[in-house]
Amino acid sequence: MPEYEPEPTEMPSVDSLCEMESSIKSLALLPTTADLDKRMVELFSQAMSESKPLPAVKRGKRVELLVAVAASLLIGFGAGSWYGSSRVDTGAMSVGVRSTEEGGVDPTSKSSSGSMSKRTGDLESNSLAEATEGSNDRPQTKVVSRNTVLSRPLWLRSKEGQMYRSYIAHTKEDLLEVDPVTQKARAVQRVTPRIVISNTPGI
Amino acid sequence: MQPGHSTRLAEIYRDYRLSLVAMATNIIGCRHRAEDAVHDAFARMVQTRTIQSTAEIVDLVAYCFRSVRNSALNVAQKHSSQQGALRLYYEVQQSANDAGVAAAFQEELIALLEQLPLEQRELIVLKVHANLTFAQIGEIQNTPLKTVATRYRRTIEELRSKLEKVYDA
Repeated sequence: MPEYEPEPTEMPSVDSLCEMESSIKSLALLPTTADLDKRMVELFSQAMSESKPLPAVKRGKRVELLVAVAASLLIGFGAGSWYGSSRVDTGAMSVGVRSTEEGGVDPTSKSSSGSMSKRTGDLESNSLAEATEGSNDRPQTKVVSRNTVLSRPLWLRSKEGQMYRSYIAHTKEDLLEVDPVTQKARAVQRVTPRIVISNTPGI
Repeated sequence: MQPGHSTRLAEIYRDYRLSLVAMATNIIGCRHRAEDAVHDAFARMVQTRTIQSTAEIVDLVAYCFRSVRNSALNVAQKHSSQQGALRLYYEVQQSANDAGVAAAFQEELIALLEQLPLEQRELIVLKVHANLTFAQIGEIQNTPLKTVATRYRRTIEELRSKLEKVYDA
Protein backbone atom coordinates (compact mmCIF):
# COMPACT_ATOMS: atom_id res chain seq x y z
CA MET A 1 0.00 0.00 0.00
CA PRO A 2 1.49 3.35 -0.97
CA GLU A 3 2.38 5.58 1.89
CA TYR A 4 0.22 8.68 2.18
CA GLU A 5 2.12 11.88 1.76
CA PRO A 6 0.28 15.14 2.28
CA GLU A 7 0.63 17.94 -0.22
CA PRO A 8 3.45 20.23 0.84
CA THR A 9 1.33 23.30 0.20
CA GLU A 10 -1.58 22.06 2.27
CA MET A 11 -2.50 24.77 4.72
CA PRO A 12 -3.27 23.88 8.33
CA SER A 13 -6.66 25.24 9.31
CA VAL A 14 -6.41 28.84 10.41
CA ASP A 15 -9.99 29.78 10.99
CA SER A 16 -9.88 32.09 13.91
CA LEU A 17 -7.53 34.48 15.60
CA CYS A 18 -6.98 31.96 18.36
CA GLU A 19 -5.81 29.39 15.87
CA MET A 20 -3.51 31.95 14.31
CA GLU A 21 -2.12 32.67 17.75
CA SER A 22 -1.54 29.01 18.42
CA SER A 23 0.15 28.67 15.04
CA ILE A 24 2.55 31.44 15.98
CA LYS A 25 3.01 29.89 19.38
CA SER A 26 4.09 26.68 17.69
CA LEU A 27 7.20 28.55 16.60
CA ALA A 28 9.53 27.69 19.42
CA LEU A 29 11.88 30.36 20.69
CA LEU A 30 15.54 29.47 20.70
CA PRO A 31 16.99 28.67 24.10
CA THR A 32 19.37 31.12 25.71
CA THR A 33 23.04 30.35 25.39
CA ALA A 34 24.96 28.70 28.19
CA ASP A 35 27.18 31.75 28.38
CA LEU A 36 24.28 34.04 29.26
CA ASP A 37 22.76 31.58 31.71
CA LYS A 38 26.09 31.21 33.42
CA ARG A 39 26.52 34.96 33.73
CA MET A 40 22.98 35.37 35.04
CA VAL A 41 23.38 32.66 37.67
CA GLU A 42 26.59 34.30 38.75
CA LEU A 43 24.87 37.68 38.88
CA PHE A 44 21.96 36.47 40.98
CA SER A 45 24.07 34.36 43.28
CA GLN A 46 26.36 37.31 43.91
CA ALA A 47 23.39 39.61 44.53
CA MET A 48 21.75 37.16 46.90
CA SER A 49 24.93 36.63 48.85
CA GLU A 50 25.53 40.36 49.14
CA SER A 51 22.03 41.38 50.18
CA LYS A 52 21.37 41.27 53.88
CA PRO A 53 18.25 39.22 54.30
CA LEU A 54 15.57 40.15 56.75
CA PRO A 55 14.71 37.44 59.28
CA ALA A 56 11.55 36.79 57.32
CA VAL A 57 13.50 35.96 54.20
CA LYS A 58 14.46 32.41 54.78
CA ARG A 59 17.92 31.55 53.66
CA GLY A 60 16.81 28.08 52.72
CA LYS A 61 14.27 29.49 50.32
CA ARG A 62 16.85 31.69 48.66
CA VAL A 63 19.25 28.80 48.30
CA GLU A 64 16.42 26.69 46.97
CA LEU A 65 15.60 29.27 44.33
CA LEU A 66 19.21 29.67 43.40
CA VAL A 67 19.55 25.94 42.96
CA ALA A 68 16.32 25.90 40.97
CA VAL A 69 17.54 28.65 38.68
CA ALA A 70 20.88 26.93 38.24
CA ALA A 71 19.23 23.58 37.63
CA SER A 72 16.77 25.03 35.16
CA LEU A 73 19.60 26.58 33.24
CA LEU A 74 21.53 23.33 33.42
CA ILE A 75 24.76 24.97 34.31
CA GLY A 76 27.00 25.34 37.28
CA PHE A 77 29.19 27.99 38.66
CA GLY A 78 32.55 28.14 36.95
CA ALA A 79 35.69 29.86 38.01
CA GLY A 80 36.75 32.33 35.42
CA SER A 81 33.31 32.66 33.89
CA TRP A 82 34.05 36.32 33.33
CA TYR A 83 36.66 35.24 30.83
CA GLY A 84 34.24 35.14 27.94
CA SER A 85 34.63 35.10 24.22
CA SER A 86 35.99 38.18 22.56
CA ARG A 87 33.29 40.05 20.70
CA VAL A 88 34.31 43.55 21.57
CA ASP A 89 37.37 45.50 20.72
CA THR A 90 39.00 46.17 24.05
CA GLY A 91 41.47 48.52 22.49
CA ALA A 92 39.32 51.53 23.24
CA MET A 93 39.59 51.01 26.96
CA SER A 94 39.90 54.09 29.06
CA VAL A 95 41.60 54.30 32.42
CA GLY A 96 38.56 55.29 34.47
CA VAL A 97 38.31 52.88 37.35
CA ARG A 98 34.94 52.39 38.95
CA SER A 99 33.79 50.62 42.02
CA THR A 100 30.51 48.85 42.51
CA GLU A 101 29.87 50.25 45.93
CA GLU A 102 27.68 53.17 45.04
CA GLY A 103 23.96 53.48 44.75
CA GLY A 104 21.62 52.69 41.94
CA VAL A 105 19.71 54.22 39.10
CA ASP A 106 16.46 53.77 37.35
CA PRO A 107 17.06 50.87 34.97
CA THR A 108 14.40 52.11 32.62
CA SER A 109 16.64 55.02 31.79
CA LYS A 110 17.69 54.94 28.15
CA SER A 111 21.09 56.43 28.73
CA SER A 112 23.32 53.52 29.55
CA SER A 113 26.47 55.52 30.01
CA GLY A 114 24.81 57.94 32.35
CA SER A 115 23.14 55.27 34.35
CA MET A 116 26.35 53.31 34.59
CA SER A 117 28.08 56.35 35.91
CA LYS A 118 25.41 56.89 38.52
CA ARG A 119 25.30 53.28 39.49
CA THR A 120 28.96 52.71 39.83
CA GLY A 121 29.97 56.12 41.08
CA ASP A 122 33.30 57.76 40.66
CA LEU A 123 36.20 56.75 42.77
CA GLU A 124 37.91 59.46 44.70
CA SER A 125 41.22 58.32 43.33
CA ASN A 126 42.29 56.84 40.04
CA SER A 127 44.95 54.77 41.67
CA LEU A 128 44.44 51.09 41.06
CA ALA A 129 46.03 50.30 44.39
CA GLU A 130 43.60 52.54 46.20
CA ALA A 131 40.76 51.19 44.17
CA THR A 132 41.37 47.75 45.56
CA GLU A 133 40.91 49.00 49.07
CA GLY A 134 37.44 49.56 50.37
CA SER A 135 34.91 48.87 53.01
CA ASN A 136 33.65 45.84 51.20
CA ASP A 137 32.72 42.74 53.16
CA ARG A 138 33.72 40.53 50.27
CA PRO A 139 37.12 38.90 50.36
CA GLN A 140 39.79 41.17 49.04
CA THR A 141 41.66 38.49 47.16
CA LYS A 142 41.02 35.20 45.47
CA VAL A 143 43.60 32.50 44.94
CA VAL A 144 43.19 31.18 41.42
CA SER A 145 46.27 29.06 41.08
CA ARG A 146 49.28 27.89 43.05
CA ASN A 147 51.13 31.16 42.58
CA THR A 148 48.52 33.68 41.41
CA VAL A 149 46.19 35.74 43.54
CA LEU A 150 43.47 37.97 42.12
CA SER A 151 42.25 41.14 43.73
CA ARG A 152 38.54 41.79 44.11
CA PRO A 153 36.90 42.93 40.86
CA LEU A 154 37.50 46.42 39.58
CA TRP A 155 35.44 47.96 36.83
CA LEU A 156 36.90 49.59 33.77
CA ARG A 157 34.74 51.70 31.54
CA SER A 158 35.44 51.71 27.81
CA LYS A 159 34.93 54.76 25.64
CA GLU A 160 31.63 53.25 24.52
CA GLY A 161 30.49 53.28 28.11
CA GLN A 162 30.60 49.52 28.59
CA MET A 163 31.89 48.14 31.83
CA TYR A 164 34.58 45.49 31.90
CA ARG A 165 35.42 43.38 34.90
CA SER A 166 39.08 43.44 35.72
CA TYR A 167 41.40 42.24 38.40
CA ILE A 168 44.89 42.90 39.59
CA ALA A 169 46.71 39.58 39.48
CA HIS A 170 49.78 39.10 41.63
CA THR A 171 51.92 36.27 40.35
CA LYS A 172 54.73 34.92 42.45
CA GLU A 173 57.75 33.70 40.54
CA ASP A 174 60.66 31.76 41.95
CA LEU A 175 63.85 32.98 40.34
CA LEU A 176 67.53 32.26 40.65
CA GLU A 177 69.51 35.43 41.07
CA VAL A 178 73.20 35.14 40.20
CA ASP A 179 75.59 37.50 41.91
CA PRO A 180 77.80 38.96 39.14
CA VAL A 181 80.81 39.16 41.41
CA THR A 182 80.75 35.90 43.28
CA GLN A 183 78.73 34.03 40.65
CA LYS A 184 76.72 32.52 43.45
CA ALA A 185 73.11 31.79 42.76
CA ARG A 186 70.40 32.34 45.30
CA ALA A 187 66.69 31.70 45.15
CA VAL A 188 64.50 34.78 45.28
CA GLN A 189 60.80 35.25 44.94
CA ARG A 190 59.45 38.04 42.76
CA VAL A 191 55.84 39.17 42.81
CA THR A 192 54.66 40.64 39.52
CA PRO A 193 51.43 42.61 39.51
CA ARG A 194 49.48 42.82 36.26
CA ILE A 195 46.00 43.80 35.29
CA VAL A 196 43.61 41.23 33.86
CA ILE A 197 40.65 42.56 31.90
CA SER A 198 37.63 40.57 30.85
CA ASN A 199 37.02 40.26 27.14
CA THR A 200 33.28 40.51 27.57
CA PRO A 201 31.58 43.69 28.74
CA GLY A 202 28.97 43.54 31.44
CA ILE A 203 28.74 43.06 35.13
CA MET B 1 18.98 46.66 47.70
CA GLN B 2 15.89 45.18 49.16
CA PRO B 3 16.21 41.57 50.30
CA GLY B 4 14.10 39.35 48.12
CA HIS B 5 14.32 41.80 45.27
CA SER B 6 17.03 39.84 43.47
CA THR B 7 15.16 36.63 44.21
CA ARG B 8 12.13 37.97 42.38
CA LEU B 9 14.30 39.15 39.50
CA ALA B 10 15.85 35.69 39.27
CA GLU B 11 12.37 34.18 39.08
CA ILE B 12 11.39 36.59 36.32
CA TYR B 13 14.53 35.82 34.37
CA ARG B 14 13.93 32.08 34.75
CA ASP B 15 10.33 32.36 33.52
CA TYR B 16 10.74 34.91 30.75
CA ARG B 17 14.31 34.61 29.55
CA LEU B 18 13.44 33.29 26.08
CA SER B 19 11.00 36.11 25.42
CA LEU B 20 13.35 38.70 26.86
CA VAL B 21 16.17 37.61 24.60
CA ALA B 22 13.79 37.36 21.63
CA MET B 23 12.54 40.90 22.25
CA ALA B 24 16.08 42.25 22.50
CA THR B 25 17.18 40.31 19.40
CA ASN B 26 14.24 41.72 17.52
CA ILE B 27 15.43 45.24 18.34
CA ILE B 28 19.17 44.78 17.95
CA GLY B 29 19.34 42.17 15.21
CA CYS B 30 22.27 40.41 16.83
CA ARG B 31 21.76 37.61 19.30
CA HIS B 32 25.05 38.04 21.15
CA ARG B 33 24.45 41.72 21.70
CA ALA B 34 20.87 41.01 22.67
CA GLU B 35 22.01 38.62 25.38
CA ASP B 36 24.48 41.20 26.60
CA ALA B 37 21.66 43.75 26.73
CA VAL B 38 19.51 41.38 28.80
CA HIS B 39 22.41 40.77 31.17
CA ASP B 40 23.22 44.46 31.49
CA ALA B 41 19.61 45.36 32.22
CA PHE B 42 19.32 42.75 34.95
CA ALA B 43 22.69 43.71 36.38
CA ARG B 44 21.44 47.26 36.69
CA MET B 45 18.21 46.17 38.29
CA VAL B 46 19.92 43.80 40.71
CA GLN B 47 22.43 46.37 41.85
CA THR B 48 20.23 49.40 41.91
CA ARG B 49 19.06 50.79 45.18
CA THR B 50 16.56 53.21 43.81
CA ILE B 51 13.85 50.59 43.61
CA GLN B 52 13.86 49.85 47.30
CA SER B 53 10.28 50.96 47.34
CA THR B 54 9.05 48.27 45.01
CA ALA B 55 5.54 49.42 45.84
CA GLU B 56 6.12 52.17 43.28
CA ILE B 57 6.58 49.51 40.61
CA VAL B 58 3.16 48.24 39.79
CA ASP B 59 4.31 45.30 37.73
CA LEU B 60 7.84 44.00 38.13
CA VAL B 61 7.55 41.73 35.07
CA ALA B 62 6.64 44.67 32.85
CA TYR B 63 9.37 46.70 34.52
CA CYS B 64 11.96 44.03 33.63
CA PHE B 65 10.78 43.84 30.04
CA ARG B 66 10.88 47.61 29.76
CA SER B 67 14.39 47.75 31.22
CA VAL B 68 15.62 45.11 28.79
CA ARG B 69 13.88 46.92 25.94
CA ASN B 70 15.56 50.22 26.83
CA SER B 71 18.89 48.48 27.15
CA ALA B 72 18.39 46.90 23.71
CA LEU B 73 17.38 50.25 22.21
CA ASN B 74 20.59 51.76 23.56
CA VAL B 75 22.62 49.03 21.89
CA ALA B 76 20.64 49.35 18.67
CA GLN B 77 21.45 53.06 18.52
CA LYS B 78 25.15 52.22 18.47
CA HIS B 79 25.03 49.19 16.21
CA SER B 80 22.92 49.10 13.10
CA SER B 81 20.30 46.38 13.01
CA GLN B 82 20.73 43.34 10.84
CA GLN B 83 18.16 41.66 8.66
CA GLY B 84 16.57 38.34 9.39
CA ALA B 85 16.37 38.84 13.12
CA LEU B 86 13.51 36.37 13.47
CA ARG B 87 15.68 33.47 12.46
CA LEU B 88 17.93 34.42 15.33
CA TYR B 89 15.27 33.65 17.92
CA TYR B 90 12.89 31.17 16.27
CA GLU B 91 13.77 27.53 16.25
CA VAL B 92 12.63 26.29 12.85
CA GLN B 93 11.92 22.58 12.53
CA GLN B 94 13.99 20.57 10.12
CA SER B 95 12.10 19.33 7.09
CA ALA B 96 11.90 15.70 8.05
CA ASN B 97 9.53 13.33 6.23
CA ASP B 98 6.52 13.61 8.51
CA ALA B 99 7.30 17.11 9.74
CA GLY B 100 7.71 18.50 6.25
CA VAL B 101 4.34 20.22 6.11
CA ALA B 102 4.69 21.72 9.53
CA ALA B 103 8.18 22.95 8.73
CA ALA B 104 7.05 24.48 5.44
CA PHE B 105 4.17 26.17 7.22
CA GLN B 106 6.48 27.53 9.88
CA GLU B 107 8.89 28.82 7.26
CA GLU B 108 6.00 30.57 5.58
CA LEU B 109 4.84 32.02 8.86
CA ILE B 110 8.30 33.29 9.74
CA ALA B 111 8.61 34.87 6.32
CA LEU B 112 5.34 36.72 6.92
CA LEU B 113 6.35 37.75 10.43
CA GLU B 114 9.58 39.12 9.05
CA GLN B 115 7.62 41.47 6.84
CA LEU B 116 5.96 43.05 9.86
CA PRO B 117 7.31 46.28 11.34
CA LEU B 118 9.51 45.94 14.41
CA GLU B 119 6.81 47.09 16.84
CA GLN B 120 4.32 44.51 15.60
CA ARG B 121 6.90 41.73 15.77
CA GLU B 122 7.65 42.81 19.31
CA LEU B 123 3.95 42.75 20.08
CA ILE B 124 3.78 39.15 18.87
CA VAL B 125 6.69 38.14 21.10
CA LEU B 126 5.24 39.88 24.14
CA LYS B 127 1.66 38.69 23.70
CA VAL B 128 2.00 35.24 22.17
CA HIS B 129 5.29 34.00 23.56
CA ALA B 130 5.65 35.87 26.84
CA ASN B 131 1.88 35.70 27.42
CA LEU B 132 1.77 39.22 28.86
CA THR B 133 -1.42 41.21 29.24
CA PHE B 134 -2.23 44.19 27.04
CA ALA B 135 -1.80 46.41 30.10
CA GLN B 136 1.73 45.08 30.64
CA ILE B 137 2.58 45.49 26.96
CA GLY B 138 1.23 49.01 27.05
CA GLU B 139 3.53 49.77 29.97
CA ILE B 140 6.51 48.25 28.17
CA GLN B 141 5.90 50.01 24.87
CA ASN B 142 4.61 53.18 26.53
CA THR B 143 1.40 52.91 24.56
CA PRO B 144 -2.24 53.10 25.69
CA LEU B 145 -3.86 49.75 26.40
CA LYS B 146 -6.56 50.16 23.76
CA THR B 147 -4.01 51.00 21.09
CA VAL B 148 -2.03 47.89 21.96
CA ALA B 149 -5.13 45.69 21.81
CA THR B 150 -6.24 47.12 18.47
CA ARG B 151 -2.77 46.90 17.00
CA TYR B 152 -2.48 43.29 18.11
CA ARG B 153 -5.83 42.27 16.64
CA ARG B 154 -4.97 43.96 13.35
CA THR B 155 -1.58 42.29 13.23
CA ILE B 156 -3.05 38.84 13.74
CA GLU B 157 -5.79 39.47 11.17
CA GLU B 158 -3.23 40.77 8.71
CA LEU B 159 -1.08 37.70 9.20
CA ARG B 160 -4.04 35.41 8.76
CA SER B 161 -5.18 37.03 5.54
CA LYS B 162 -1.64 36.98 4.14
CA LEU B 163 -1.27 33.34 5.07
CA GLU B 164 -4.55 32.51 3.40
CA LYS B 165 -3.43 34.30 0.24
CA VAL B 166 -0.20 32.32 0.20
CA TYR B 167 -2.00 29.01 0.45
CA ASP B 168 -4.84 29.98 -1.89
CA ALA B 169 -2.42 31.00 -4.61
